[in-house]
Amino acid sequence: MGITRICILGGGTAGWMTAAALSNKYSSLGFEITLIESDAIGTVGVGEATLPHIRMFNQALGIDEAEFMRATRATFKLGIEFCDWGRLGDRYIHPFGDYGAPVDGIEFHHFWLRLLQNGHTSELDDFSYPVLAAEAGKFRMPGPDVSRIGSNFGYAYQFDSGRYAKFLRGYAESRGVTRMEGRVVEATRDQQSGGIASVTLDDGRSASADLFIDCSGFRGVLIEGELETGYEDWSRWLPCDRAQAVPCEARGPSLPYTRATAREAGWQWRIPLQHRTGNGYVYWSEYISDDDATQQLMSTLEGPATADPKQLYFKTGKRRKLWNRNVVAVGLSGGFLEPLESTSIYLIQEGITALIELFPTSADMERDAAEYNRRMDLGFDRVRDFLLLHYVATQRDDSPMWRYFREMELPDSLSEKIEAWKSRGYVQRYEHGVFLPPSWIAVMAGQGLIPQGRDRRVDARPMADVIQMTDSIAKQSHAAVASTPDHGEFLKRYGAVDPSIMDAAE
Amino acid sequence: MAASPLTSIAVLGGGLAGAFAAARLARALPDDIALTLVDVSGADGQDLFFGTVTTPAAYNAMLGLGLGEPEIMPGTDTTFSLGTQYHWAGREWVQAFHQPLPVLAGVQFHQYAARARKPYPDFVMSVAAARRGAFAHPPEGQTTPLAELEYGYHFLPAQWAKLLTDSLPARVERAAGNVASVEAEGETLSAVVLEGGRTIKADLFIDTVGVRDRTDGDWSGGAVVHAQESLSPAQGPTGVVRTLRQKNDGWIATTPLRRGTHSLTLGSDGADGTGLTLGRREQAWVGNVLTFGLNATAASPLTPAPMSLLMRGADSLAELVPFTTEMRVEAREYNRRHRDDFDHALLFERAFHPDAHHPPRLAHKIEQFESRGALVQYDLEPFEAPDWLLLHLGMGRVPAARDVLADRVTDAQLHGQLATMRRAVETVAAKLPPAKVYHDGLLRYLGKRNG
Repeated sequence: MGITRICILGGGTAGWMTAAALSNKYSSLGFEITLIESDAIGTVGVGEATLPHIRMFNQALGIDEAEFMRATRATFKLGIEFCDWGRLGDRYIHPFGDYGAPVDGIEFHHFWLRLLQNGHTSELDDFSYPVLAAEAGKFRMPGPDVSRIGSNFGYAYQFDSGRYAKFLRGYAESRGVTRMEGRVVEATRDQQSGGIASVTLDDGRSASADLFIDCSGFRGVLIEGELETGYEDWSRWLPCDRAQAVPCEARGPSLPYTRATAREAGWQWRIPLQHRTGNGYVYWSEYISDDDATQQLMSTLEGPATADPKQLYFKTGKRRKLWNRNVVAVGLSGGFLEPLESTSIYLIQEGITALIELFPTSADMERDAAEYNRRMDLGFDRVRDFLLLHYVATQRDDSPMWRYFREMELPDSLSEKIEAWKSRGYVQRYEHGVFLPPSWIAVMAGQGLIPQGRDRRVDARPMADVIQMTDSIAKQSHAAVASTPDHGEFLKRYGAVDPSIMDAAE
Repeated sequence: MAASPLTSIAVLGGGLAGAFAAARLARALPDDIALTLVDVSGADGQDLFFGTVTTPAAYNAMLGLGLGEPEIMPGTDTTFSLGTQYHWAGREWVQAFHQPLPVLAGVQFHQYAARARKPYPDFVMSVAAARRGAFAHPPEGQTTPLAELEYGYHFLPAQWAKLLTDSLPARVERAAGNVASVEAEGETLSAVVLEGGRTIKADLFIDTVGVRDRTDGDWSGGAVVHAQESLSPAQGPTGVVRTLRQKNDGWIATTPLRRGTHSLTLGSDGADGTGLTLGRREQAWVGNVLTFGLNATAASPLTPAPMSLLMRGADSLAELVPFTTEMRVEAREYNRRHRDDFDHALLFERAFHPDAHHPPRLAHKIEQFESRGALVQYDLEPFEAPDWLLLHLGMGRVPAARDVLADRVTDAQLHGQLATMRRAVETVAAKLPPAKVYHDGLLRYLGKRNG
């Protein structure tokens, strides 16, 4: 018998993203998709930043970009600015895009290293259109020819995730998803398979399904509460365990990038939306009290807070099996990695994409789950290493937290990557996983790790050629930025601004 | 010992691997790194194990060395290859090089073919061309099924070794002779002394002859195979694929070359053949000696893996030429890539054997394909999803279920679309010239052009 009844538990970002994507794919096949959520969780509008992959997700749903941006009060995002990470006072932008373009099959940054190592001054940022555009508060769409400087970049959004969930709810419900209001109080198991047969709500109604998607957040109502799948604790490497989030009034023009500022016991985010700015402080409770965290967060807001700070608790890691029996955990129920590189929604999206590719064809889902878990585990592992890189590629030792990282024994996979970069600017490539070499280069170079050596092949060209070639790319990048409109201007022209905000502003 | 800048590299060559490494380094590296190629006699003794087929990657690899088809084709027996026709495990199929067919509405093409119960290979341009023994270059920037044609080469390792060696620039110093002794301290080799007394010193040695002994535990694998080859001057190239037939304890491959048909017999029993121990070194690069070629990675020429591994090894080497005589990081990274490349290629080879105990990663691939037609790919495998798909189908692996999303189109839409695609492939294939006619025409054209 086929799998045709799907039940999604939880209606946050993960739940409605799942419902939207599954209804788009399976409604026409007559599948029944139900989503259970309890009373709308207050949308505090703290903002959520995304990765460029989300555009593919929206495109696959046939969503109009401007309409989506109006509905979620979204801004464009060209990257993340990291402040005080390598050293106090340092800053850099990790852009969505390459530095320069490969020459003779050799990655561009090796040419830059040759300049540096021969006593020339040269900024890597001069070869990145998205960095320069972000710095200037400008934005436009990449052109069709991605090999051109000024077009070889990606972009994402900064939006109100509560509004995104609502927007997708409309999409999903119009495609036949049934929403049930209520809280799950009990689950019934299938005697034969050991999987979940049905769930019962607090008002006594029940929902049965062939496949359950657990989007119930940290609690993992089914994946953990019922199936006791177990959790792989990664707090040894990423020990921050709490966060506070608060929106505030925006000051100044809305910037096309997110900011992550390192603090003594964690880091603080700033996410500019159309109508306000989302802020949050991610911290390690061992080294700062909740009250002190609140105080630090509130004292660094750019404008008056528009809500009370919201307290969050978490433990970094992931579920031992993201897919167990007939339950797939998507979102926080599957695992948590701090949002330092905006990977939360990306990992939700990966979970949904993999689920669709491996959608079970019978009640025996063990093989589907095996491949799903293999893929997702690899994705989580690679994000973890990349996040940890930010904490260890640093000279900071001004607080117990930074000293903790200094003494940490790194996973081999990460220490080898760092060593290969430091010795010769080499970045390991892989096919599967989110962060490509330019991201590793951005963070390592941005946090002050400058390689000793380089790819020997770049020396085959005369130095004068290298100077001319790099100058030309820097000029093209700056010229492309000069002709780029302001971000705010572009948002308006694109029809992406929520009219109610425009009215309020006038 | 303090690290000093790396200024010299010596390649202990004499066969295809040495020539390929030397050509690659000579093209890539600045002049201030001195390069020496030592022609060690007999070093090419096992080169027949490189087989006679390359993947499409050879086009760019050779072009990057200044050897395009106008340079390669006239002076050698090289012909175009669309892949291998296997008569294997009681089955027959064309393992053709090809790009993935289009993903329609988020569903991979083979899932639609499965739903319609049509053989997937019928839609692959290179399979259709191979079945007819026909060939023409894929045109660039056009939307015709012919543009999807992917091809490699049939070649003779000795001829390509000579071609590569002859193309070496003058900066490469040449030496010849057998290795009499080596001067080493720990893992660092300071010099190689040739018979006749000449001493070759270098900061880094690329060793294709195996001066570093294979100790137990440094070699994983172990099956010994024997091979014999011959070239029968027949009527010239008649096909556009290698044909490989399974025999009792091995196989025999016939390859259409320009001047005749080459045959290679490989088996475990071979009193008078050349022997080779299949497998790989655990560490190809130790100290300042990088063991390269068949002495480091010996894959069976059942598939194009031997040449793929050689090209990949050269890529890794070119990217990792050390900056100083301290080369621990380079060695570690090279060895990681070396192991991954070989082990991934080995999965593909093992997939030809239905009853063997498959390693877990292969068992997983097969299980995923047989359960639902899913193609599992690990990082940067030498054989890509289209290769695996044809192999699985060729071996008679049939998915038990398919992607339900393939059911979203109506029967009429599905059959209409598939019929159109199949017709397009057949129409183009029917117009292609026989491979021999095309090849002869190309050589005449090149001959005229070169005067």
